[in-house]
Amino acid sequence: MKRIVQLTTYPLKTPRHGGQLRCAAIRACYRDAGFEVATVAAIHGSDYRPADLERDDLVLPADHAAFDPRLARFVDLQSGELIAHDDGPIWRAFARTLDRLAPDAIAFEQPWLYPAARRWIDARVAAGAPPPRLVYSSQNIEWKLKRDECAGGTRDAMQADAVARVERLEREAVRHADLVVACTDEELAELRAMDEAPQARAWVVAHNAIAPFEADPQRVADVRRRLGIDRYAVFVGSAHPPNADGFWRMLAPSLAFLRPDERIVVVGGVVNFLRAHPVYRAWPAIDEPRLVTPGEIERDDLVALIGGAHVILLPITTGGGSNLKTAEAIYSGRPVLATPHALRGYGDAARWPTITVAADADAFRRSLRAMLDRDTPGVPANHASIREIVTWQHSLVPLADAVRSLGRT
Amino acid sequence: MARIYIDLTTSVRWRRPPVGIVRVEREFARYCLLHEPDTVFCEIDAAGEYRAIEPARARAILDDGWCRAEPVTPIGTPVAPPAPVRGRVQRLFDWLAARGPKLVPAAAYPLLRDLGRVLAEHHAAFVRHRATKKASRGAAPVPQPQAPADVSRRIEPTAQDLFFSIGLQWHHGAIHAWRLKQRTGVRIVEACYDTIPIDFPEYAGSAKQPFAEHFTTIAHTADVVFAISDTSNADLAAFYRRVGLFDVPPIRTVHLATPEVHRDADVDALGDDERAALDTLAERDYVLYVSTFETRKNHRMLLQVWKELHRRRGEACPTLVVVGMFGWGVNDLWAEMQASEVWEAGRIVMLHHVSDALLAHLYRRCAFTVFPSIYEGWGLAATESLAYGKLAIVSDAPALREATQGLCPSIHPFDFPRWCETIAHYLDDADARAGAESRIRSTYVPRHWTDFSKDLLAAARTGS
Repeated sequence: MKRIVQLTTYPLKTPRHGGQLRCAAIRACYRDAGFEVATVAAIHGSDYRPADLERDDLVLPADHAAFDPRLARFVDLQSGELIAHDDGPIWRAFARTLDRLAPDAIAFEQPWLYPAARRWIDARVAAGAPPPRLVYSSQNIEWKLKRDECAGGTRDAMQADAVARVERLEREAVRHADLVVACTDEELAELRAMDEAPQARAWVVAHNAIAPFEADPQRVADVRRRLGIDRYAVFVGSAHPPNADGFWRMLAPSLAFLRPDERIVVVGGVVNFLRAHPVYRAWPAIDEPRLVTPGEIERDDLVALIGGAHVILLPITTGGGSNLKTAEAIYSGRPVLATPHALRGYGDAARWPTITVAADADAFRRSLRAMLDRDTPGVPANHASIREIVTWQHSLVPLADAVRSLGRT
Repeated sequence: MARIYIDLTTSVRWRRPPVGIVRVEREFARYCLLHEPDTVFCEIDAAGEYRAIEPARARAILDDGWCRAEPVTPIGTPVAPPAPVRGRVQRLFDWLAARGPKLVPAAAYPLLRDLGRVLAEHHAAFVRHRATKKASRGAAPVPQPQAPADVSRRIEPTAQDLFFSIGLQWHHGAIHAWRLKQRTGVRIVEACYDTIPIDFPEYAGSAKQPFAEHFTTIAHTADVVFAISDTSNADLAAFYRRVGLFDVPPIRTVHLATPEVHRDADVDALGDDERAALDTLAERDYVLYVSTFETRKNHRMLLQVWKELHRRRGEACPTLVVVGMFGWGVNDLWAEMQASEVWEAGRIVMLHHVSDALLAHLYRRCAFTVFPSIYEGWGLAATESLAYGKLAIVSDAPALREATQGLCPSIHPFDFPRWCETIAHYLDDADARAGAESRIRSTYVPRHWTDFSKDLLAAARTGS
């Protein structure tokens, strides 16, 4: 086995969000293991800039009839279904690309493009060619995540139907894969439970992790000066409503418990959801002066912000997978305040010296108060060895081994 | 001995007859000027630093002349406000609102309508102000004492000293006292007069959020907060629970003083305009309500009661005298009042810029007073009525019952039949009125500003 094609619904050229970072790290891991790797990203409309796309990426027209605007949170699902059922240029472009790449293995990152891959494989097998090996690289239990994201639950028949389609797709992906990859032990167990013949395939956990980084003290000072902050906690979140829900669920009813000179620096697209949240709207004059919202910032500035933070907040209350923000926080050596949910997939991280765990809002707020009140402790002596656990270099070792084994069977 | 520092910023900037909070700051400062040697007075400068006020200047600021009273002005026919309310500004916004959905996005329509209403109210207030100025233009100017201008040193209190920050701090910024505390460690005393803007935002314009931030800041600043009543004390504690504050300073109740009673005020000492106002009112019984004219003070209830009294009694209807500033959000009520027959008949009179001397005469000659306010932090005017030995019929707002020491009939602010019945009862039954007054005179315990100041100092010294 020599060539691997990775299928995604987002480009990997300039990885920013969690899914991109994980897929890019996996691609690097495969390459380090000696495989030739190409990525085909099926992208919805103009969700990404042309400069972010790679050669084999495929742009799907956002105004295509297959995209139902009422199912905006199911665009990925609809992308896979569109390619699988198209009889025009979209399918031809996809098939032509795979024909050219001639993969020995197809690794679909999340289940979305499995129907498209299935169609191509079936056509190839019908033509007498051997089927490629299949790697299903999951990031969540997707159908549960989608179910939880539906504002009105699944009472809406259309949403309920979409969630059911996601669940069927996930089961299909598991049942046809040669190797199933999960982010956490818990999710691996759930995926196994979907399978009637788990012994027929390989199973591996590859925790989410991060690339090593170091904060430059000069940049830390610059960022503090630029943002006018001294004693602060930092919260990083993308424009994903559950990120805002988690933040306010753990910090409600207000940020009044922060002193006038203390701030929470909110990085990323989540800030608009924070301000639209009912908890914020109850006491905006108390909350707003205690927030600093630089929005999307350069990676080096983010590293500096984390490096100078008194506390890194991980108020994650929903969602699957293991969280890259958690890995980043652990790696930094700064004090971390996390929910138990945020530490999923990181083993006994709750016992590590830099981490404080709080399960409910009152405990979370009191812990934050206490952490801001004390001087920031130095980095623990054994931190250098602990933090290696959360690097991709460490976490993807089992995956590299499993894919090598796949090539030998 | 700890030195006392008093932020006089509110008093420095207030050049009109003092309202409740201004009076509290002034009276406490006067007490300390006389009885607490080495008290340092200060004010906030443009950079947010506290600068010492030289003693001579402090004395000038605390002199009565600093708060000049304007000539008494009856509010009513000369001003004719309905026209300005429906004036050009309102007409413009009515037109814009009607055309709104065509000219602007539909979402902006309610905003446009509200903006029109706010501007129209401001415009109406401006027209009233202009008419009042015009009416008083002939009066001789009252000389204003001039304090010597001075650039003073920054104050440097120690961690043992006490710093009183009890004025209109939400205007000046509570953050300055917090910074002072960070810099020097001085023990800080803050005040809570009420949390009405937070608990009743419908009666406070857009003040809810600024007050929420203000009280949050003082929670992190104060070593002790003094509340003017058990009601305000409980309300502030409830607010702190509501916003999830863990560590809050002790809150100590220090009841306000009864306003000074001018029992010996001489009619001859009144100005011509004041005497004329008094003579007009003397023609028949009148009931007094001393309060800013605003929604929370529930003048609407009194208007309905007086309409009913006028309907029943005609010419024999007594007069309702309302003394106070023209406040916020009452243009509709004002228009309704002026269109009513009871107003037309002169049985409701509104006065503002009333001097202490005239107010004393108004209290002495009234049948009794009313205070139907929907909610209060204390109820200074109700205590003033008792100090004059006059019965006050009050609403059952907890602070009013607390302030009147349970000596007055209290009625739910929206219980129209009981207000009608009780007011009629005390108008018609002179014996009942005399009995109530007798009970008040023998039982009511007035407080003096000296009592208040001593109690506040004690609360500050022991509570922090």
